[in-house]
Order: sequence, then C-alpha cells, then structure tokens
Amino acid sequence: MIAALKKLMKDNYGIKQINDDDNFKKDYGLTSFDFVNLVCLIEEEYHIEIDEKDYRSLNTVSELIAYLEAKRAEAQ
Amino acid sequence: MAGYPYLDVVVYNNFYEMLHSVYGKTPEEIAIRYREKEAIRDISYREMLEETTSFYFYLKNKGLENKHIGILSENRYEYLTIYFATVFKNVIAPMDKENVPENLWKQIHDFDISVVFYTDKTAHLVESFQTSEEVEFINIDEVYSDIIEDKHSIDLLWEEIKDTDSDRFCVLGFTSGTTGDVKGAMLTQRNVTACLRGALQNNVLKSPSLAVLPMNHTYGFNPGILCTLYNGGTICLTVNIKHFQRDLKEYNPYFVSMVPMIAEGVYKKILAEAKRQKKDKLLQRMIKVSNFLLKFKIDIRRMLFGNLINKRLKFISCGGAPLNPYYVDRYMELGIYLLNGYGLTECAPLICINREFDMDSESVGTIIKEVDAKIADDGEILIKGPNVMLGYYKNPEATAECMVDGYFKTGDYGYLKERRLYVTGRKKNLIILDNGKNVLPEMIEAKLSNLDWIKECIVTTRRVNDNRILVALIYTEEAPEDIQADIDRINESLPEYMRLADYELMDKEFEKNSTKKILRSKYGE
Repeated sequence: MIAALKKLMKDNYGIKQINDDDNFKKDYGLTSFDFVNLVCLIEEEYHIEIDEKDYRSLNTVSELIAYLEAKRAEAQ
Repeated sequence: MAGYPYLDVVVYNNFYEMLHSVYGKTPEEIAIRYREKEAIRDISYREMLEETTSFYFYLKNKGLENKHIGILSENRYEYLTIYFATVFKNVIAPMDKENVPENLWKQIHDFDISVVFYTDKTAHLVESFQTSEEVEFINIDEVYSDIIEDKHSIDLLWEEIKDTDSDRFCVLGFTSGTTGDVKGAMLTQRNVTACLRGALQNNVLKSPSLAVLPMNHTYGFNPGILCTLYNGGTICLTVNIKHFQRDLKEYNPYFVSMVPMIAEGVYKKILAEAKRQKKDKLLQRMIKVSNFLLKFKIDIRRMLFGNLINKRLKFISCGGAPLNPYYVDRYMELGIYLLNGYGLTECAPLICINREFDMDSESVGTIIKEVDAKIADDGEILIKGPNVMLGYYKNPEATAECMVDGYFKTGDYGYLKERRLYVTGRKKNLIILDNGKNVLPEMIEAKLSNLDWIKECIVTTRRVNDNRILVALIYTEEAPEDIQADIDRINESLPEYMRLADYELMDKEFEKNSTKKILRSKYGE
C-alpha cells in the first residue's frame, strides 16, 4: 500500500520522500483541494469509497494507510 | 480603458425585480442543474420559484416574518429556494458548516437568530443545542418535501413581494473583526443586486456557470451563483467537491468562480495528468507554438487545449484571497481568462474584477461601474457605492470606525491607475489563506496565551511547497514535555481551517516596537 501511495504522491504532487509519520498539510503542503484530489485518485485506483466525514481524521500517511487497509479488509 | 466602456446591463434593484423579469421572459429555462446521486437533475425557473413560493408561505404561516433565519448547509439546490423565500420578509444568515458548534452557538445568540435550517450532513454541529427553547432548529431533509407539497401560485408570491424595499436589511454576512469577534455585515437587496450588475457590466457572462465554492461564502454565492440568475442563465452546482473535476468536464461551463487554491490546484492537476500520460513535454511544446502563433493573431488555443478542462470554459473569476499572477498567465496560454477580483463581505462583496479586453495580471481588476474608489492619505483603499452595507449589526462603534466621509474603509492598502485597482498590503493583521478563509492571528494567540508556559507568541504562516500553513511561533522559558497535546487541545476548539499545522519554539523574545508590540513582519513568511 505504501508503495502505491508513494507513486501517487510522486506522480501527482512531485513528492519523492514519504515517511509514515508525515503529515499531508505540514510536511507536503497539501491544500484541502489537493487532499480531495488525492482521495479521488485513491478511490479510482483501489475502488474504495472514502467518506467525506472521515477526511479530518486522515492527517498522516500512516493514518491514511491504516484507514485504507481497514476499508479493504471490510470489503473482502 | 477609455476604448472599452462598461457593458449595458438591465437594472434590477431587488430580487423581486430580478426574479419577476427573468421568470417572465424564460420560465422554462433551466435555472439550476445538479447531480442527485448519479443522475443529472434540471430545475427550471418555474420550478425554482414554485418551491420558493411554497417555502415563503411556510415561513409566513409559521409566523416567522422579520425573524433572523440561519442556514447551515452544504451546497445544495434547496439553499437557493430557502434563500429567496427568506430574503424578502426575513433576514437570512448564511452560516459556515466548517465552524465549530461553540462559535455557531455564539453567532446564533449574538445575531438574534430565531430559526436555524440545517441538514442531515450538518446535524452534528447543532445537536448539542437542539433543546434550546429560544431557537428552533429545523432539518431541511426532514421537512422540505412536505413544504413544497403545499403548492401556491407564483402570482401570490409576486403579490406579496412586489413592494419590496430594496434598502431593507435582509442578509447578514459574517465577517471577521479585528478583535477576534465575528461581525455581521447588514446587506440589502440593493447591495447584492448592485454587486451582480457590476460583475456583469465588466464581462459578458454566457451560460452555463458552475458553482463550487461554499454557498455561505458571499463571494461564492453572489457573483458565483446569483450573477448567472440575474442573467437568466443556468447555474450548475458541484454538490460534492470530489466531483468537481468531473463536473467541469460534464457540465461544460463557460464560467466558474474559484478561490486561488482551486485555480492553482486545477492547473497543477492538468500538468500532473500530462506527466502521467507522458505528454508533459508535448504540452509544453504546444504551448510554445500557440504562444508564437498568438503574436500573429492566430489563436488555436481552444483547438489545442480545449480537452484539458472543457471546450467552453472561458472565464474563471478568482477572489477571496490574493492570486499569484503566474497562474493568470498560465491559464491565458490555455485560452482561459483567470479574472482576478477583489471585494469584501461589507461590499456584497464585489469591488472590482479584471475584464476580458483589459487584463492586468498584477491588478485586482477594474472598479465596477457604480462604485467610487479612492485612496486615503495613508494608502488605504476607500469605497463608496450601492454595494456598501448599511453597517455592522448591533455594533455602532465598529460601523463608525469603518466609515470616513461616507466611504467604507477596506483595511487594505493599494493604489489606483484610472479605474484599475492594485492591492499592496493589509492594514490589519488578518491572514488570508489561499482558500479564501480569513484567519485572525490574534484570536488564536489569545487562546495560546492562556497557557501558563507561553510567554509570548504570534501566529503566522509558513510555505510548504506551494501551500501556506498556519504556524505558532512561541517563546517560553519552561516548555512542558508534551507541547503538542496543548496545541491539539487548542486546535479542537477552532474551525478546521484555523487550526495550527505546526509550532516553533523561539530561542529569544520577539523583537518589539517602541509601544512593545511584536514586530510581526520580522517573523513568518
């Protein structure tokens, strides 16, 4: 999952180095609009729906990955 | 300038004149288009006004005339019918769904709001004070379909509102005060319609338009949505920001109102997409060729780049926050006019916007026709005209303070070249984020100062990549072990956009002026 996220971040936001604890806003400078775009890309890639009300709890790379993994497990 | 006069636009001084005229001409024209689940739904002017009429009589029969009515809702079609049903006999207060319950309750209380219309999506914001006896909370999702079942003739609405007083206070626009308290700009229908007309006198607006900004945002709602209705056109609504890019393609709008964050985001996405398809170099080559041909007045931009966003998009108005002129030029290369504009809630909000044939990427635009602008001796931009509010609600001191010789003091510094305005800085310490949200550093600093261990602090911004984030600079002699826990607690009491993304500890006290005020300009960006 982290490898795929790395690729998305590199291709779309030019961010080359990704760490678990990185914060999307503080460390990558993602605006709320950028974050929604990232959500759209992830949804397309993984066929997962990320609920709008969950955005606020997804601040770091590890939070997003844990969320996506839980969603995938739910779907299986 | 002299060779490019203002455009002729029919004069409506209130919403009765506007809606009555537009409906009379094109009742079956589509007023609003939006996506309901996956299907596109079209609402004609007739349908919109039928529902407005039902809602108007619902309010009347409940005995709510003259009451202040709050609306706390995500972007949706019903926002418009409720707005029009309310604005004639009540005061409508568009509330920010990104605010925290504590602040919303303060607004309800301070601005005498008796009824709040909320939705399933905003219910969590009001659940803690729903039991209040002074304020009625009504869920739009629960009552709307029943309300519109009770049909009345639109003629009855016309009869009720034909004597509309254009100068009656009818919209409460929330705006930041310098001390941290929210102020309520009292706007009239004359204010709002003057702003709409002003926008249309600067540029030709063709239909349809796309609205993406939050509807409680004065800029997003008035120039962004009502302008199109003033013209009798179709406004497409992006009801979920996730679908914005798709809406841009599928609705194929001629005009979109944005804030810099979105305009920049859309452009970056175009570049990222080109790169992903390994066509970035090709795109740059095509731009070079197109720019070269333009020197010979050969314009093939639409043919070359029409598919990048959509084939029709011509104008993007950009307001709410300072725009980087770089993007004006980049959009222009693609054949899209990114029209930088400027305004304040107190001016309903439009003061000026760039014009198609008179663009200047450094300027915030040409002052709208009926507005008089001048520069004070200290450089502050002063505004007089039909768009200027009546004053601040229940705040005569603030009202007196913001006016000088009949002119409204904007709090911004700038200069004029004929009718073109240039903004050079802010008089107040207000931080304007790229998404158009205003942050008063003093408000967050006051909360930080309540922490015993903080001796001095300021809130400023730091740039990370292209985005600006909020940062607290703190001077302390004795920092606790878990500083972040204190910051988190403060963040929880603040709306999302006001939250501190980071903090920095300073190794010495801040530099101050002779009156012991921190020299803010020395710190942050």
